[in-house]
Amino acid sequence: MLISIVQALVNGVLIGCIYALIAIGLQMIYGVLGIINLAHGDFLMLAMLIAYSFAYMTGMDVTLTFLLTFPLLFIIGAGVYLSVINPLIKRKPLFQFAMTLGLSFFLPSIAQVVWGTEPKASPSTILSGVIHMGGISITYSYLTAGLVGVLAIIALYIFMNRTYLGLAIRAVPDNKDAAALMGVNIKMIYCISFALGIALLALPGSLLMAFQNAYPTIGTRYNLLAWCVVVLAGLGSFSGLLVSGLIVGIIESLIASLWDPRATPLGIYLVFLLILWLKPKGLFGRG
Amino acid sequence: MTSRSCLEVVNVTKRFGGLVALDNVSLKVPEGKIIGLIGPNGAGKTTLFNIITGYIKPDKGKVLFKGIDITGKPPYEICKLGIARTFQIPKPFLDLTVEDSVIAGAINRHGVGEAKKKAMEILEYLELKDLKDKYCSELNIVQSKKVELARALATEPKLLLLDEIAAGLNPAEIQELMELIKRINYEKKITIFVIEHIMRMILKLSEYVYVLHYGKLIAEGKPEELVHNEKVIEAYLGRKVVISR
Amino acid sequence: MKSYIKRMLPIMIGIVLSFLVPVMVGFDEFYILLATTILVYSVVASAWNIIGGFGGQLDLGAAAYLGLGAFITGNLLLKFGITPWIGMFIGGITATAVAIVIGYPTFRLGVKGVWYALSTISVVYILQTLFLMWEEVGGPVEKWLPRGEASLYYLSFRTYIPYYYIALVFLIITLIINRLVEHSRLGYSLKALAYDEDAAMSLGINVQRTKLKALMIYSFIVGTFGGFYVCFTGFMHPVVDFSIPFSIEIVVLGIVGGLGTIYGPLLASLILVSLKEYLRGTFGAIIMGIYPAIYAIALILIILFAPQGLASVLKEAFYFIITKLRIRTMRGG
Ligand SMILES: Nc1ncnc2c1ncn2[C@@H]1O[C@H](COP(=O)(O)OP(=O)(O)OP(=O)(O)O)[C@@H](O)[C@H]1O
Ligand SMILES: [Mg+2]
Repeated sequence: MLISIVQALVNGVLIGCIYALIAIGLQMIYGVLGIINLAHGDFLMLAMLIAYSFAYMTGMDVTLTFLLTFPLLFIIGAGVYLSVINPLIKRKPLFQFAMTLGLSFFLPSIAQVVWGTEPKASPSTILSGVIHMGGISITYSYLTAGLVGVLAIIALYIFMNRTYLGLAIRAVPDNKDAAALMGVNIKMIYCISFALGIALLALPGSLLMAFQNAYPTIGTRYNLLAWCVVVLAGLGSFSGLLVSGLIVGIIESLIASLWDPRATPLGIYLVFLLILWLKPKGLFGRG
Repeated sequence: MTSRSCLEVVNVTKRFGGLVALDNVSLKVPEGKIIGLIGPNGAGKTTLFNIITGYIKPDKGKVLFKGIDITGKPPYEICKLGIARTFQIPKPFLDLTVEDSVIAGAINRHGVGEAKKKAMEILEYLELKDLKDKYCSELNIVQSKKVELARALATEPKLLLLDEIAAGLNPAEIQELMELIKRINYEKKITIFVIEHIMRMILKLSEYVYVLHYGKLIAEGKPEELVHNEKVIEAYLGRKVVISR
Repeated sequence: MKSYIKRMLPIMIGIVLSFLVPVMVGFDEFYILLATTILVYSVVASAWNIIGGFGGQLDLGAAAYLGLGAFITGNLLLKFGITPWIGMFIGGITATAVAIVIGYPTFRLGVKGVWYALSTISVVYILQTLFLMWEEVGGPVEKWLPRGEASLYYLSFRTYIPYYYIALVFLIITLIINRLVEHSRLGYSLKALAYDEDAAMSLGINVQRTKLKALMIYSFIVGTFGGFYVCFTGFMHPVVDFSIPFSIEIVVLGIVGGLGTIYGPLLASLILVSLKEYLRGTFGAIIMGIYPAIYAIALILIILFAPQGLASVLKEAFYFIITKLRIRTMRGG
């Protein structure tokens, strides 16, 4: 019993790191553009399927494909921004939200056209092994996911706080006019932030492919799950994402191992509702 | 002040974090008069209006309306008791027509049919009838302000709070608005409490004025007395030109 | 009087035409099924209009209420042989009760805008999960309703024609309710708070209570309609009845139709769902995914280029044509 709880905790922590990774881009897009993107999970689905295709075509290990997926997703993100988001940027937030809903219809169907509906599993990877430690077992893929997740969040933190581009991105939502005066090109920052927000899905996308199947409708689940992580962390908090990702991951794996794997959405979305109602600023949100 | 109080604010204190926006403020608005509230930017005037109308709860103190304690009641109940207000930053219903906006004000006391009649009366009274089918998003500043006033009047208040209603208007428009406010006070027997930055206007309009500065009431009195009050001049330092008409 | 007739005329023509649809398509089952599907979307989108269109609340919970109505009606019929007509009513009441349980704290705590949208869609997820796990009444395998003799009492027919007419009656009732709400105190209050809650409160409008009333009307209509829906589809399945994409689609239809008008959501459902079903019929079998992709592109284009919604685009087009015709006839004459 104790062993299975420890095992569940370990799994929860590791998958939680992936959830945090998924949520980073969403946080960035909301933080900078103020857009409630309900298609983030569908972009993740795209990341997974693209990772699969690269692995399949190049024979590369799927966990490394993010090197190729990242630039491609960046281009896709920029394209989506320029074609359908930018024209709406001055309109009511309702329309931007509606556009992401439109995208949540478009992306899975276009993925169906390209990849078909069958679940795709990547060829075996270097991460297929398992470590055993005193009764609990950890798959390499989960472990790598966890480590990469933490590293990526630290890297992003440094990027946002130490580089010119990062600081410019942070300056925009606080004061558009001042940022514009400082010579920051707002449209450019918006475009880069959106594209980066999408491109950051390359990492969790290829990591997830190491132990999960991908199919066009898999994104639906993550569309809301990613919001759950962001809202729990609090809008604007990047470091908080790591904690909230872990909380969501742990809740999920505890429910799955102690009660019923099918019940995981119940736990997550009940917590989500309570947070939305009682602590809408999240655990670490700025006032 | 001799006549009966319409509104009474008693020892109201409000803090925002470390900032004391209102510090133990007490004042009275007598029935049937036009009373002014002035003070430099950030003095706490709007905060006081927000407390009176229930948008903000005071940390300490009470608000009495016709002798009834209304502290902490929600805004819609306070409106039903008979206090209406306009907002410093206008809050028009941009998607609605002028007529519908005013009807929305009248429905809390009347059924829809009656409310429509009532709304037409008020639009006529404020000479806005020609605009009734326009959307609020198509109005200019003066028109927006008047519609906001019409909306407030439609709730049939006994006390009307106006928060810098003349801001952004030109002298001719201000003159017209002043006449209108006086007319409303006189003809409709509505007590009026006005915040105004434009000295000329408040001095001409109101019979009695309170002066707020950094959350404290620093002076009160008849307008002509206040013009010579040292503290008031100091609070408005560098604005002597404005204050001496 | 004359203007009244002038106003009522298009509505009358619409009603007559819609009653004649089965005749016009020559009683072809395929087209009647299609028309009934369009009506399903129209009913839910028009009910949503009360809270979303008038009240400006982005409610993504339509599938929660539809699913509750469907599962309650279906189970009452399957387990106890209770007629769907009673089941529907119980479904509607239950949906309303759940809506109050969710809506009361939500509105009370001032959850607004997109946070409201997110909390309503998580309710759909929660209910879907509950019904997937609760195998007695739901479960991952669809449960079929008995299809015996044709019977109005059991809402079971061998052709789609009766379903079409029942759905049409639902739509007409929903539109009448819309109309009544629009011209009532509730309607004015909703429209005011949709734009600015603080300003609405300053006019004596109890924002919480107004939203809750709208939510109750909407959830009751959709819950009741869920009882019809389950008889129409003939089976219950948590993923089909508590469908996330359906909830989202309703909101998108409301937005692209044009918020705040009765005709917006109706027009959007009529036009876009027909387009979708037409595309499904034409391309569905050839390439997977192509028809929803085209449908999604249509939605995206409308959001981009017709911010006021389809209703106003059609109105403008109508006036444009009328003026063109007038000019032509004037020149001709
Ligand atoms: N909701 C709030 N949260 C925090 N601080 C606030 C809030 N509302 C007002 N303040 C602060 O309280 C002080 C008083 O503000 P208030 O708006 O009442 O001033 P005012 O006298 O109306 O000024 P103005 O003439 O500029 O309208 C200001 O310093 C303001 O920044
Ligand atoms: Mg102010």
